[in-house]
Amino acid sequence: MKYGAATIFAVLGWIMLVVQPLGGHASTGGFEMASEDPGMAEVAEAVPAFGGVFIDGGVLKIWLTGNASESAAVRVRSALTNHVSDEFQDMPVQALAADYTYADLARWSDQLIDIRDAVPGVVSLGVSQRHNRVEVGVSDVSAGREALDNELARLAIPRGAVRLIEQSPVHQLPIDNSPSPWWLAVGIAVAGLAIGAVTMRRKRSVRT
Amino acid sequence: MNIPKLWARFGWRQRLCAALLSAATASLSLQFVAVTPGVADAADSATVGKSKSGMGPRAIPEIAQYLRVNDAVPEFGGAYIDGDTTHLWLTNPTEEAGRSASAALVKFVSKDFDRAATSLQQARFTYSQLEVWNEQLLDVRQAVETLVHIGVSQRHNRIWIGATGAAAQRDDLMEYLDDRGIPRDAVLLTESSPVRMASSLLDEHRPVLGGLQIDFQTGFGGFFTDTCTLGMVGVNLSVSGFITNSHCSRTPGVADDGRYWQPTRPVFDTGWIGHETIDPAYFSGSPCPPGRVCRYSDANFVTLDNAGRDQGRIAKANLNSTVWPGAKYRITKKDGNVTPGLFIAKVGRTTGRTQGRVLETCQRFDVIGTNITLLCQNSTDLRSAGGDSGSPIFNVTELPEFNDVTLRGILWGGAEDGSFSVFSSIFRVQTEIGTTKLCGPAFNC
Repeated sequence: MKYGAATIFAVLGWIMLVVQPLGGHASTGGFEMASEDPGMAEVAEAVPAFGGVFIDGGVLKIWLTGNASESAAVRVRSALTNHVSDEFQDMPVQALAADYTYADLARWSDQLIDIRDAVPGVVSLGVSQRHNRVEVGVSDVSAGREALDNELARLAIPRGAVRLIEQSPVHQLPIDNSPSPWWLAVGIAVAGLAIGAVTMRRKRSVRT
Repeated sequence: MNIPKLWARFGWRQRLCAALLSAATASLSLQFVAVTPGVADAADSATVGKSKSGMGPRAIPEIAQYLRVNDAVPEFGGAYIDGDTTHLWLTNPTEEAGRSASAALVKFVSKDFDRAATSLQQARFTYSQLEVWNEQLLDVRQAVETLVHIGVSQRHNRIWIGATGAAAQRDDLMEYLDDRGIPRDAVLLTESSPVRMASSLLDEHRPVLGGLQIDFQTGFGGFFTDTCTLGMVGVNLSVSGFITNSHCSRTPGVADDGRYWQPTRPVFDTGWIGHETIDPAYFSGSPCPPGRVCRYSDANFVTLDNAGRDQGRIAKANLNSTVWPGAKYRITKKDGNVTPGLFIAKVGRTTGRTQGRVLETCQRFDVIGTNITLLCQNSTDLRSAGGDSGSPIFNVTELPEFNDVTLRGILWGGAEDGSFSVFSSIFRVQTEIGTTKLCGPAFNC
């Protein structure tokens, strides 16, 4: 039986090696960067009423809290041109009345860093510039709504500032050509039998 | 070697081992045969050959329908449409023969021949004569080595042969026709450009460029192979290479020297195009959620070893297709700032070139089945599927020239129900792997 244990260890070692790339990765100290979009953060700093921006039919639609005037939207456009990209400079603008500023939404989004622990099936989290809300994507809305409401109450985040949507889980997109589990099973069986055969042979030769 | 005697000497363990090994070897051999193109091709070509040469032109429906017209109207030499007029070749171009031929064409071939006007032309040969001679020219390549095309031309009432360097082969062709008793004036020989098969993103291409299929080492000992898309070709700190996804590597988050092939990994691992040299580690701690490891981009850098680079170029596959006629996009600008609503495109080895709009920007995505979270990513409604990982994301600007684009990012993920795709912005990619020159040679970016 002492060789049986060796076989088990060999097989376990094999499984560990094969499965290793699918598991976790070594963590490092990382680097400190804000989780908000840096370009948009600069625009929010230049125009505090800024609530987000999106393109619709060639028009730059700009969310603004307070007085959502055309002139304020033009100010945002020039801030976007200065801090984000020059491709905005000739685009027509339209001001939209926002409920929240981008800075507040980004801050609330950052506060929800632990949301996975509170809400089941979280797929995505971030500021939705199309909706002027923090958006939480979950795989099952009905299972997540109550948990989210509790979490928002705990963090004192306005319930109306967060939009809960149903989203399909996200996966990476390589083509996996790895052998099927059936092949792995055969490989493990062959390896185990080969080791067993060798050990039996040795035992016999020792006896004789 | 006496196999039965050897088998008899085996114990039950050895017999079981031998049986398992034989089964494994047989299965592998069957798999190899199944994916070897030559095996299937040989069977296909045999079938085609039989229908064409063994059963004659009547076996081909497109020809048989005109032969039926010729059976009904013996003077018929071919027909073609030009505008509102049906042109009829007739060896005896009478009004009556014209009416009969028109009626037969409508009946046996297509209603398209029912035109306002009919033009009768004097034919030298009947359609069936031309098809019989065309059959006899099956091995015409003996005389015309640079043959491009051959067939009955209904526009010319001749057999039309196209070849590169046609003039130099005219004498050989005439001799060949004389040997077979085919009238010289029944054959028209003209100069023709060579025809190439439309290539695809899945074929081998050198130098390499964005959008092509790549294979890479993965799993135990790098023994297994997965497939992704080559993103962008460029230069990182004076080193030539390309960017693809970090998860399209032997061990994501580790610069592990894993090898890459284009388009596929050969049996003996020869001809790899590069090896991974930059793949930053995933980190934990704020702003990464507890229990997760994070990065801001799913990207790595692969140093090119055995392939030239077509820097700043992306294969312009046909829309919603992996067929690539040869045109290329040129990257003239990098801009990682994406805005919801921006119209973008990607080229990937599975779904080819697809287009869509940016949905949301700077969202945090948890990758299902892993402990990986990617921070500040962008979602889009453009279509993608397995194998498209690494696809370059760009928007077509046509500035300063046609097919010029601004590079926006690299595709890495998609929703399981296909409702959206996810990409890292090029700004985040360069923050993590270092500034890389990815634009066309004339542009310093």
